[in-house]
Order: sequence, then structure tokens, then C-alpha cells
Amino acid sequence: MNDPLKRFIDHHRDELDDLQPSPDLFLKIKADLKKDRPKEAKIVKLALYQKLLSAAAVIVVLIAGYLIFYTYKNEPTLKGDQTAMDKNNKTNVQKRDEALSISPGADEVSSRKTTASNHVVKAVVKPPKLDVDLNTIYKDLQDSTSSSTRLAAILKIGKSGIINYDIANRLAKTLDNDDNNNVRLTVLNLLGQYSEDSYVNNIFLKALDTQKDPIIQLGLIELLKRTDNPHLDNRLYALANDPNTFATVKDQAYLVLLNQNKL
Amino acid sequence: MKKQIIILFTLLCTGLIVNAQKEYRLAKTAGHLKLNLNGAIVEGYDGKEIIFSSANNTTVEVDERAKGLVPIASSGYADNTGLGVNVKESGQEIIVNNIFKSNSDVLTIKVPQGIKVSFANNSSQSYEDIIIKNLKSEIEVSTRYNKIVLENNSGPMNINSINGPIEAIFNSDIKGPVSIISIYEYVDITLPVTTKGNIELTTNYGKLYAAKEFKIDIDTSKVEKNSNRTATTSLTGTKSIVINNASANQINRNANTTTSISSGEGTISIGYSYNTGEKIKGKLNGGGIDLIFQSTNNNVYLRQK
Repeated sequence: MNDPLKRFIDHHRDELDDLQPSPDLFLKIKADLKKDRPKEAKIVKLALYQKLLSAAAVIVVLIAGYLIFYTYKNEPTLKGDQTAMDKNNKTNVQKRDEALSISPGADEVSSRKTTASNHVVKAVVKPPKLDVDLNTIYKDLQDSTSSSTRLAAILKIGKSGIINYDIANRLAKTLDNDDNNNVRLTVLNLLGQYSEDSYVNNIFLKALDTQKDPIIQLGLIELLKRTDNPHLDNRLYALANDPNTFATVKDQAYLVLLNQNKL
Repeated sequence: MKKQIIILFTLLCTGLIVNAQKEYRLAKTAGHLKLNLNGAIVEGYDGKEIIFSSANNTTVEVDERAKGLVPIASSGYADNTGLGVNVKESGQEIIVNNIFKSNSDVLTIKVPQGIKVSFANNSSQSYEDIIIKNLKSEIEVSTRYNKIVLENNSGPMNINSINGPIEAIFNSDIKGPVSIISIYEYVDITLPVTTKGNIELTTNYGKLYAAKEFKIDIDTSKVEKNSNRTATTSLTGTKSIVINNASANQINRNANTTTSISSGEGTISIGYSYNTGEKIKGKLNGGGIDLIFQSTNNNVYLRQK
């Protein structure tokens, strides 16, 4: 494309380039640049102890992070009136998957100890030597042919002293679905030791809604009346006012409400 | 005189009263016998048949008008035994049901040793005693008002009743676990002193009694007093309690110490409380099978055989 202006500039370049910049122009530009230039950071040399402190801080953070992560993965024991106690009055916590069987010499796990005021303190203790096979216990717990086998499995859990949320859930399932009252009452007796724990307390409260067998209802009322669950009153009212409730259960519900001045 | 005797005899024979022992047999040596009756006498024996028989001290009036007809009931079951019950086989289970809910006839049932026995009665109106004896297989009983009597059964067993008392006599061969629970009535157990077991005696509002010959190694970490607030215990280890040969003893025990001993009559009370319950877990003769005896609102008696 023909550009006349361009051609004109090209032909008369020498005549147009007759001006020169002033000598101090460059200096002015340089001075402006200096103003805008960011100040270089001061290089501070660390003393040796400061270096060591920094390294130690990093290590502590890493260890704390590892412990927090490991503790989060572990399932805590249920706080309760009577837990498996070792000589130092500490409860034992272990994480259990469904397919995991316990063997001695497990890695150190974190545990909790409850003081008299129920303030939870974390401590690291070695787990006790255990020779229970939870797999077998879980299998026996689901043996539909023999209630005695299921009962024996629950008694083994009680003797082992192991209790965690997984086991609590399995026991809750047994409480809901087992067709033998002795088995369910044994579950109540075992979980009843942890009735102060809110998780177990909620299991009982839920069971009070779903259980229709008078023996189990009586057992649940007996356990729950010792706790301070605020939702208990509503459940007891519902039970007492249900025309299908067994007379003895109604009487017991009324008695608890009467003792608590809720009638 | 002879004529009078003949007439009387004829009247008796042609009368409307039928008085005879009836029987129903079922060939079975293994399986699960489920009894949904008002009461029964179940006896184990070394045979190959389940034998149902009706007590011969009841009389059934034969209704002439009902000849050619069969009795029907709201239960939906038909009498296929002639004993007023329906017996149905379903796989390994033999299920026995009353035709009529108010049937007060107590059957005697002889059961081969390999058969597991279950008895259930949730009726509040129709209930008779349930007696089970000489069985070596597993037993399950669940009732509301029936009195339960167990004699010389080996177990394992799960027995519970809401308002029925439970009495059990054991021999030396016992298979655990044995769980016997009554909510409102007493539990009375007779055991050989040499029984090796992990024993658990519980009552919430009653008392625990035991014969002085029993030596129970009580696990003090498991001693609980069931008051309105549960007590936390941090006791460990075991404490051996030997019941001495004093004429009778009543021991009041709290979670920590043994308190005063007063004399009484016959048996010893281990743990006593008017308003709070007692739960004792311990070992008999070093421990062994699990024995759970519980009465929520009444007493538990442990007698020596």
C-alpha cells in the first residue's frame, strides 16, 4: 500500500532529524528512575541460635500436625462411669475398622483420661495387650441361629474393655433388631456403663421411640432416668399417653415424671 | 343289684363325657421347637420323636351337634394334632400354636436332646406355668406372667419374664452363657457349690441372697450401686470375699468397704439396699461359664445344691 506520508518522511529523514536531546535529559530520567526504584531489602544475618530455633519450630509444627491428624483418625473412647481402667487410671482408646483384628504390639495411640471434673486431657499411652478377635465377635453377634452365641459375643466385648463408636453402633443395631430380650438387655447393661456419654444417651433415647417390647422399654427408662437428657420428658409423656404401651411401662414412665415434678 | 350295675356302666359308656390321654408324635431329632402356648411341661429324653401329650385330668365335652364339623378360631390355626394345638414344620423349625387363646390345657412335650427349645407367651390373661426339665440343648423362654421352672437343664439358656418368678435348679454340667432375668418377680437359683463360673447378680430394688457355702471372688471394680446418679469407680484389682461359717450373715456393702455384719437366718445377703440396687460380678471357683441372674424389682436367691 502506498503511504505518501511515509515516503515523504523517508525522503526527508535527514532534514527532519536535526534536533538533538539536551545532554542533561538522560540525567533527569535517571534521577526519576532512582526515585521509583524499590529499596533493596536489608539482608539480616541470623545468629546460630536463631537458626536452630527456627528449625525446632518447624519440627514442632510438623509433629503437632501429625499428632492432630493421627488423633482425628483414631476413634475416641466413650466417656462414662466405668471404663477399662489401667493402673494409672487412664482409659484405653483404639481405632477399629470392621475387618480389623486386634493384635498385641500395636503402635502407640493417643488416649484420653478423664479427671474428676470430666475435663478431657490427651495423653499418649501404650495400649494394653489384647487377645480378642473382634472379627469373630462381630460374626458371632450376627449369628441368627443362636441367641446364646450372640449373648456370649456381647459378654466378650464387655470383658475386653474395648469400646468405641464402631462397637457402640453395632451394639445399637443389636439393641434395635435382635429378637431375644436377654441379648438386648445385656446390650443395655453394657452400654449403660457409658450412659453419661451423649452418643450413647442418644442411642437410648432413639431406642425408647422404636422399642415396643416392655422389658426393653423398662430397661431404657431405668437407664435414662439417671441422666439429664432434656428430651427424655417428651419421650416419657409420649410413652405414657400411648394406649398401646404396656401398663407397667406406663406406670414407670409416670413415676419418673412424678419424681422429676414434671406432672 | 347286678342290673343296677349294668345300667350304671352303660350310662357311663354312652355318656357325653370323653376322658382319655391323647398323644401326637413327630419324628425329629434336630431342629428348633418353638412353642407359642399358654403353658407347657417340656422334658428332654433320649428318643427320636417329639411327643405331645395332653394331661389326662381334663375332660372335654363332646358336642353331638358339632359332629362332622371342625372347630375354627380367630387364631387362623387348625387343630392338626387333636390336642387343641397346631404343629407346623418349617424347615428346621417346628412351630406349635394354640388354636384357642384361652386354652388352659397344659401339654406335656417330650423332646429329643438335640432339639433347641423356645417358649414365648405374651398374654396377660392366659398363662400357665412353664416347666422345662432334663434338656441338654439351648433354651429360650420369654413370658409376661408365666412362672418358669427349670430343672436339671444344662443350657445354654436365655430366660426372661416381666411378671413371672423364675426358679432354676442346675446340675454340675452347665453350658454357658446362662442368663435369667425377671423384671418384677424373684429369681431363685440352685447351683452346685463347685460350679465354676463368672457370676453376675443384679437387682435394682431388691436384695441379693446367697448360701454361705459359696465363695465368690468379687471383682470390686465391677461393684456398682445403682442410685439416681451413677457412681464413677476407679477401683482396680479383685477382692476375695470368703463367706464365713457364722450361722447367718447379712453384709451391707458399698463401693469401697464392707460394713457391719448382723445375724439372720439361713442364708447370707451379699449387698443390701432399700433404695439402691446392687450388682455383683465375680468368680465362682476361679471362673468359667457366664452366669447372669437378675431381678430388677425383686430378690435374687442363690442356693446351694
